[in-house]
Amino acid sequence: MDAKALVDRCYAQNGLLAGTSETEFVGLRTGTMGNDPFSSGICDCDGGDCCSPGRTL
Amino acid sequence: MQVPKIAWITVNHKCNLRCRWCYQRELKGKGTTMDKEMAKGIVNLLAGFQPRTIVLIGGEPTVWNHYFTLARHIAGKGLRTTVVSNGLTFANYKFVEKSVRAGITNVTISVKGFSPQGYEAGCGYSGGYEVVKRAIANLSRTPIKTMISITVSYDIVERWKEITAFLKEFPKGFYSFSFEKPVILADGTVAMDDRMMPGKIASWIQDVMYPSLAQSGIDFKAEFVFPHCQFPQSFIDEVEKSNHVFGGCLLLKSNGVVFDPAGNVLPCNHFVGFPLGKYGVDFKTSEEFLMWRESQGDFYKKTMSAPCEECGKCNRWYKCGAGCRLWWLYRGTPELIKTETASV
Repeated sequence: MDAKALVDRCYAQNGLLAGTSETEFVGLRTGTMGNDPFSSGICDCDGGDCCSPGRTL
Repeated sequence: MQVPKIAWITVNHKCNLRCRWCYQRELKGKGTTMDKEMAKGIVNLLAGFQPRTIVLIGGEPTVWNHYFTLARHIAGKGLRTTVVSNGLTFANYKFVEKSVRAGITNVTISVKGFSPQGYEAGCGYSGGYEVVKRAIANLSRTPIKTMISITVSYDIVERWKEITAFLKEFPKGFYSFSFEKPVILADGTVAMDDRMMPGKIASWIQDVMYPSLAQSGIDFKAEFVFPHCQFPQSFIDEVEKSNHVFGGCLLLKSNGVVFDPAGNVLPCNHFVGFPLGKYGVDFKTSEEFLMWRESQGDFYKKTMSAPCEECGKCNRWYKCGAGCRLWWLYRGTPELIKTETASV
């Protein structure tokens, strides 16, 4: 089974139908982060205000 | 489709801990190990579009035989390497020094508990608590930027008071808190510790966890990938205003790529054994990869869309996104949506 089949099956099992939204998902504003967590994959601001020069412990 | 900004390379499934909540727990610390040439080939492919960072993850990447070789290869391509580790290996200062020389710039240490008993409950190794503290102290003596990552499982909820002493020991650390999520099992079913379902844990987050972290004065972020209607809107607003939040779900934004040790591309790290495509089969060069990725648009369109009608109509969808899709793979609307508070 691949990822597509898994997602299709689970959606069907749960009786869910992928809905539509006219509004694009933006997410919460994460703000300036102290230690450049973009590099750990937890931020996706694309080098914006989350990724200020970090400090070490 | 966006060009990936972050790439995770899962170099192995081998691990020297057995965390109860691990999304790879079915593998019991064993499984596949990535071949060195494949790892280098994937890095060469990634270098073609220069992601912001390459994250080496496992299993436990520091016990992979080619850890230093690959780190040097990544640095040679002008890319940044982050290692996500349980930290045990970094308790050896010589290993830390060698990591610096190999070009490792960032380390995220996943801390499993805040006492020997907490470690025993979380991952079956009570000695890990003292070892990981030594590792954090070692890393603080180097230029490596270190983040302390905590996945909140029910074991941690039960022992939350123990965190106080740990935070006092590392008050200047940068902390990220995420939450145990459903696990996809080998047969395609989805399992979860029901005590950690959003509807059951939301009030604890709001009343206990968040206030105690905010009052501690530490620099922290908490992952907010729950359907927001599980919380009062005033709480969501407060967390956002205080900058104590991070997002970044791959399935909601499709801005990253995850490789497993066999070279498979996974939709996110949790999809162990359920690939979308494979290095060396579907693509080998940067150009081929980006073309292949474009061809996966329908899959991402589905995972990025509202998982139920209520979410599709909710005027807070643009900020909430209905949370991590793993919840939705596990359970449906009645448990995940609070219609009395949702802004439909």
